[in-house]
Amino acid sequence: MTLFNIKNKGIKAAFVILVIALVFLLVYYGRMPNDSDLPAASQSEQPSATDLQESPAPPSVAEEPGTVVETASPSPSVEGVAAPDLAEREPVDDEFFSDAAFMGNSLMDGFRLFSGLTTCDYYAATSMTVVGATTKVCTTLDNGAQGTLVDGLIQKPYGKIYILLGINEIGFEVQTFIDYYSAMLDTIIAAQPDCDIYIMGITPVSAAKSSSGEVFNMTRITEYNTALRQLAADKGCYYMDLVAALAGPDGYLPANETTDGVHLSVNMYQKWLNYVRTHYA
Amino acid sequence: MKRISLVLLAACVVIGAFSGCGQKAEPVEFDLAALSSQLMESGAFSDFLSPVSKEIAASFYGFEDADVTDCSVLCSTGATTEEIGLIKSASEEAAAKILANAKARVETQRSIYESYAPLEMPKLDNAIVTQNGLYVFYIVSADYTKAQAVLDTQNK
Repeated sequence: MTLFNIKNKGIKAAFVILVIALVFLLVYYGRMPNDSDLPAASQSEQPSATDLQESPAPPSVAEEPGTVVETASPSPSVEGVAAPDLAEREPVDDEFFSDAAFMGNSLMDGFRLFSGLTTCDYYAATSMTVVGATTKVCTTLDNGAQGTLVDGLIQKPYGKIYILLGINEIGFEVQTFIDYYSAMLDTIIAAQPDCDIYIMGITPVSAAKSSSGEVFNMTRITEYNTALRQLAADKGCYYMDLVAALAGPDGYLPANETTDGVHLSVNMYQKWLNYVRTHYA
Repeated sequence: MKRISLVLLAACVVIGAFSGCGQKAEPVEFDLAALSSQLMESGAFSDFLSPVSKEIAASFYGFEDADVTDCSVLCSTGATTEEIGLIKSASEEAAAKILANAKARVETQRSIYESYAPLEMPKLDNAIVTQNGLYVFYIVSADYTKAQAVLDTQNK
């Protein structure tokens, strides 16, 4: 039977619908990314982000073989606080952070050194990335063993987890970064189902840094942060806008608060802490 | 009489010559806060350096609270490896331990920054890591000659 021989209108309509459905399915599955389709890492400006060139490694979580990590249902939002955005509230004291963990890269390590907040746990390292967070053994766990930063986050219950990653990966495809971040979040959420997770957006860079190249600029940072905010919404996490917290009126990191356009002075860490104290679920 | 005078004079000379043998050399003392200020003002550093707590310093140099009686430790923003670590140990044993850990810190920083910020390597190559009695100094700077000049003035 050929199309030209079809005279019944009902059969013709059903055939057209079937063809459309087949085309849709072909397009949809044809666009699904393959695990081997990792783009070749492009050279980024200093600091070099080489971690995403590594082969994708599974999260270093001691799981039973065959365990399926399910995406946790979104955390219930406190009345008046609709994830992912956070409104400014009355500041909390250090005790609020006694069940908190802060994880991230050199900027988060700077927060550890200079913010003055000591009531929480820190898991931070220079050059850390979303890949390294689950693969680089660089911290000592409570049991004395060496582990990754994510191992640290899931070794005991936390009430709040704050995550800052992204500046070291900013030379790469946004979606690749988000895919890795999402997988890392799934691991954390599965292990910490009752925890409020705060995704911190990438911090601003100075105007000079932003204009110095095509990588470390506010356009890229905005693109990444938009994606991070959406990821927070998708995962039921909260999003912290550190550009709003730290940038000057011109939208850049003030030049006198940085020596390389990226890393922060002590004054900026104080502003950052004040933001964290006043933005919570 | 003349002979007696000569004998007495010789005895005085001998006694005077040996009078200093029983005295011990005074241990060197440093005002660590003042020294760190002098280092900061020397022009040896290119990054912001800010003080960190003794607890954080302990994590850098591997000491217990009782091992250290005074310290002045300033860290960079993270953009560089620059750092001032001035530590007064409670004992020679503690000082030796801290010195070893400070030397290890140079290598730890090298492993972190060699890919992150390769231009930092010369600073680590010229790190000043020394022990002077109970004191251990760890100084990584943009211009080690200026930092060393400050230290040299302390010994005069």
